Amino acid sequence: MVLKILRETRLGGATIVILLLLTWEVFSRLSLVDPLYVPTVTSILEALWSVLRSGELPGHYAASLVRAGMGYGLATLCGIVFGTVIGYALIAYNLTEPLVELLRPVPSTALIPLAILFLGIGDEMKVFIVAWASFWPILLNTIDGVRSVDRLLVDTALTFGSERREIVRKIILPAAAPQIATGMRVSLALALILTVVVEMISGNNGIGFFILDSERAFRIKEMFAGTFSLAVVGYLLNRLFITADSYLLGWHRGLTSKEQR
Amino acid sequence: MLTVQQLRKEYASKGGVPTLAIEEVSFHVKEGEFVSIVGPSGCGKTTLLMNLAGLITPTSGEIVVNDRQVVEPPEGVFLLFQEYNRSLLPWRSVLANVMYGLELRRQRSKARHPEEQARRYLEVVGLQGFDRHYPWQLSGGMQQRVAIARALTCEPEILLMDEPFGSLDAQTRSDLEDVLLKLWDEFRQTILFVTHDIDEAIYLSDRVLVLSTRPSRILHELTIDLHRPRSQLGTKADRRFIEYRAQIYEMITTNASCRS
Repeated sequence: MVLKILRETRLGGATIVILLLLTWEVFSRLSLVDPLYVPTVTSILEALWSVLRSGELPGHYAASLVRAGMGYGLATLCGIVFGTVIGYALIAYNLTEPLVELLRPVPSTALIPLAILFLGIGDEMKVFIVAWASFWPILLNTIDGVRSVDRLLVDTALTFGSERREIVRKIILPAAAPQIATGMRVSLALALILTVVVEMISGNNGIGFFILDSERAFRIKEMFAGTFSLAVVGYLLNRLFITADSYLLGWHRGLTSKEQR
Repeated sequence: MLTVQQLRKEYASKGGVPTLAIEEVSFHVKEGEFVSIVGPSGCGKTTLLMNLAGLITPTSGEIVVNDRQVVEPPEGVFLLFQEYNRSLLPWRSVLANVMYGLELRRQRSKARHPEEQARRYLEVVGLQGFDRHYPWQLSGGMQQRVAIARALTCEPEILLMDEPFGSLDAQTRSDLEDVLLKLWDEFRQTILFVTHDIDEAIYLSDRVLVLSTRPSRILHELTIDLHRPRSQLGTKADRRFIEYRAQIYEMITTNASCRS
């Protein structure tokens, strides 16, 4: 019975999370850890509730999500457009491959000083860094997805008299969509990470700023509250993505699960 | 309708010495005729069809469809691939797959009501009620029916078929042969049917071209004088059917042993 639940549901995993939080609570309450630095979970949740209600946290989130969204959107657009061209045209692939391989491994954070130098410390710099980091997984997955489209699908389209644009729109992009989505999912996490990082570097709003500022002002509970909220937001964004993915690309799951059978 | 003149196809290979796939092939197909090309596996049949469909260019020689030389995929000519499961679009439902051709600029004018037309042809191939399924939810025979309906929806003048029933079980195969004959009887497209199955070639066709082993030449041309409509039992028991089969079989085996 228990085994069946453990195998078929994620109740066990949720229990582990709750147990960890409980341990935390107990340690802090009994002062086994310094409650000043590690406040009780309940007091953190209380702090979270109060910064939520006061509008402080939602305001910071609004700023962060706009930045993350702009950067991520820009990365998605550029990644898919460039990725399709590079994946489709062999010349473009040969021309850009060395450049891509050189730029791709550079950690995006290493570009922050450069970005500050050219773009200043405002939102331009922040959006740029987020976009830069999110761009690469989308680009590489799009290139790969487009390159591995079955030649027979393209031949079929050609015999139907498809024009080049029709082939890209009706064959290449849908066929590569599952892999493009994989890249977009990786990038979603990156966008969130880089948003927090750049907000800690400059500016006076955003969730990254809120966490760092709370630490500096010794609002330790609020600092933890900010971090907790990021766990939830990250989780929700990912769920949202998976839901959209299975709605739009359900055919792919059906197809692959059938092949595995 | 369709004329092939001294077609020759070489492939560039790594060593710099080109591989000869088709040595020299010439033939003519009349409008509304059902012609089969039969030959051993790997004899360049697929290469020949790819040339006719305008997907690859011949090394020399000429392909003329409706008085126009083929340099790109010609209008009104549709190729049904052997790997039907790979030629259907897995992200589209059966109905949307069948409608694919009508969405393209070239064929848009062929249907005022694309969906109705697609449904009609789905019915013609016996797939009514499956319009909302996805191709991968269907059996092999049904997938090939979808591919046939998709081509029919664009009202082809010439259908090129590359071993379309090659990977189906015997029962499904003879079912689909009869579906094809019925369709042909109704719409009278010109059909060029490639197969390695001698019985299938004779059973379906007005004329059979026998192809040699690689590099391809036409060994023989046979007019099939069997009355229509044909039936799996009756036609295949006909004395002439058996004679044709023996004749073609002998040609192919003699050719194969000469070469090897």
